[in-house]
Amino acid sequence: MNMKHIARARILAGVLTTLALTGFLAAAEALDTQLAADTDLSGYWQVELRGIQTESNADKPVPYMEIAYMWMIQGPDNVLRGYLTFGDSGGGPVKKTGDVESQDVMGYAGIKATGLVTASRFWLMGHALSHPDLPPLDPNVVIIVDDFLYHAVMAWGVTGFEDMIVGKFHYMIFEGIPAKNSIGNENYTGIMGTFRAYKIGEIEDVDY
Amino acid sequence: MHPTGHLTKWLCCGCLILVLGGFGLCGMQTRDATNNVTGIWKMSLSGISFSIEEDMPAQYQMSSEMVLFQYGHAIYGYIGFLPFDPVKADDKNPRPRPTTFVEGFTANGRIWLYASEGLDKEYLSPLYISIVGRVEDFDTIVAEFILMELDFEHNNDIDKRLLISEGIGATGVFRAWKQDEMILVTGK
Repeated sequence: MNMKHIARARILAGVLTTLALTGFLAAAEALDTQLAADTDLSGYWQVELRGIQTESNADKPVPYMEIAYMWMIQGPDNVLRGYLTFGDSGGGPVKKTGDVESQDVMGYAGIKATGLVTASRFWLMGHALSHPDLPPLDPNVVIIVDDFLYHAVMAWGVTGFEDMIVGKFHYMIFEGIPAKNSIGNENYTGIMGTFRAYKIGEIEDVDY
Repeated sequence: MHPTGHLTKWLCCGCLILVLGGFGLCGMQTRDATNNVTGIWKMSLSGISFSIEEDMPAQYQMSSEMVLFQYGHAIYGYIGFLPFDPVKADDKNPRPRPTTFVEGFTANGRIWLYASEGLDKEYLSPLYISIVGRVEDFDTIVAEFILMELDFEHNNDIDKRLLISEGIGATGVFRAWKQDEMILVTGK
């Protein structure tokens, strides 16, 4: 290696070091602790979830990827309240009204969530009970609920970016069959991984 | 090569295969070790926490005990995080009522636990925790946790939103060691 190559290597190393330091400083500024009051997570969010999905009766876990949606309202006490909706079906309870012929969806299909906005971080938990095969309501028919799903979600993430939060999540789905002695044989689903959420809209006229 | 050299070579190969087989068996046992977590566990949480009150992260440490019952894949139990409410019935002595309920399951060698004060309840719980990890050597759980602690006052007006005076979020490593076995007796 002659002096020319050494000089080029030094220049390249200098450029790379400058780039790395610039990126590090930018990231450090973004991740720096800040007052929770400076962060407002109220709004509509699109959430990209990636990880693994494992089921109690399956042989091995499978990759998991889902687009979820959530809306949250951040109160003056830095507490978040809102709903999570996984995929098209909602993954949560859907209430219906009307007679058999016109079963309109009443309310919001989703998982009720509560969260905290702390210094540059946020925490979220959500739980919901759903009955996936519930028949349409009929005033003259007694409905026997023969299965249910209990959803439990917990997540935490970093809020320092502009209209974006990233973090980790745990999502468990417990299946139960009331009035049947089947404990231990039901199918349970566990999902864990990372998520990225983008704010896609603001919530106007929030009344605390 | 001298016959003794051959013998030594084959002996070394045999020992190596035995050692590798032993490691393999240990690995299989570890993967299947979630078959029974029934027992009394000493647990320890250590990690980092953030509060809605303060601007700085803090170290999070928590030690407690938990009781787990496993039926097939399903796991139920209690965590002694919170002070128990005393329950008194008739003329009997007051007894503690464990409130932090655990529901979980095992799947593909991992253990999944979720706890709050009463599952499937509309009202807020002072504590929520989810734990995902593995059971090692039948008596140790190594996992990661996500935890939320809320401090608020109950009020009698169900239409009024609860104001949370303090909230802590924490995450880190969860470890538990089995202290005692339990034998499940079928109820009459």
